[in-house]
Amino acid sequence: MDINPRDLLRGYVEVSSLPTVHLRLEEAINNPKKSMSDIAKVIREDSGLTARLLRIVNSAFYNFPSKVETISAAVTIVGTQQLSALALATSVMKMFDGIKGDLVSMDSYWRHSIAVGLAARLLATFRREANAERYFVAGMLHDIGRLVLYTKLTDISREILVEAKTNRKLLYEAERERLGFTHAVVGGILLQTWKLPTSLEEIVMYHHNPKAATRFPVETAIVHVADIIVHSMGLGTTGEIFVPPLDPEAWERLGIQPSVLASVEDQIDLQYKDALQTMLADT
Amino acid sequence: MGQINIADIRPGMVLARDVKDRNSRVLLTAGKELTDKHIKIFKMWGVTEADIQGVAHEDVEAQEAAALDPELLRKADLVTQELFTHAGSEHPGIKELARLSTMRRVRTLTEAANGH
Repeated sequence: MDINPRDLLRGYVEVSSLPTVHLRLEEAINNPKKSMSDIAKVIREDSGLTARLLRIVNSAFYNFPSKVETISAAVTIVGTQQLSALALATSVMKMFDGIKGDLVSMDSYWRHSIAVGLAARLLATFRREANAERYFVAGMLHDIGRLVLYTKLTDISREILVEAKTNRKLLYEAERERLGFTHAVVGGILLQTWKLPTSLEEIVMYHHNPKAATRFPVETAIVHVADIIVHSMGLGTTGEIFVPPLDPEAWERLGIQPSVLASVEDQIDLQYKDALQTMLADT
Repeated sequence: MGQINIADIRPGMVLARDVKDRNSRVLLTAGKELTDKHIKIFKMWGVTEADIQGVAHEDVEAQEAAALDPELLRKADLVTQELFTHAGSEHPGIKELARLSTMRRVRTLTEAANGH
């Protein structure tokens, strides 16, 4: 049986498009005539999103000395692009809210995803990349293709998980053997369907094969390494039980010393609990 | 001399090489004896390691490992090896992650043994 990853998504109406607030947010940010208060207004129209964003801004994620009470204040302090990235992260979590974790615990799935988001953001901050929040989103979404596989191909996915565990294979290798493609490709296509920036699409598509990322090599390398760090720390899983192999070239692109890893892990430990509470709490 | 992790650097150690921040600005020159204040400033400027006279990286790590319960260390090491089945062990980044993984698991096992 030949499965086309695009067909999987075509028949998946629930996730076929993003909430419209994101499109309007992107438009407002890219429109030079729109002010910060216009952007705040777009967010405020969605009360659930407003509450989720304020919770994140007031968490250990930022550790601001005083409470940020309004979205207008958040836009000014955190930045419009940063806030838009965080909005996207929480909305995608909400979209997949109804999924039952038959194959993998959803709690564990999001734990891993949030931790990779934190790790990617920390690595980006260490490299002084602009807008580190977009790395958080990229990290949060890197395995999103697995949610599509688990929901749309539940029985085959179960067999793939068993195959990987029994024969001690990497899960994405088992996926490729059985399906001819991996969760990374499905995730990349999903983000393409959502018309998200091509950088996000490439990062997700090539996070296990960073050599192929020709347009955003550093961005992809950051999430590739973040995923490996979090697997080695054992913080949740999206189904994989092993630390994925490191691409030495991707490591070189980051230009970091191994001694950085201890402090990245310390920072993840500091932020992880609070980030989980903030992101996983019900709104 | 050897590259020592900032977490393992103690006052009284002597620098074998200049310590620079991420912009290659020299924070402290070779030959200086470190104080608490120096170490604090290094951390503030994002320095993650320093070259220390008369101390080898491996010695510090061996010392750290020797202070742990050998039985717990063995168990933690087995878990790490299983976890890293497909990750190899040669790359310095992977080596460091595996070391950190073992230390993390020793901590968890120790806490479990103490009934926390």
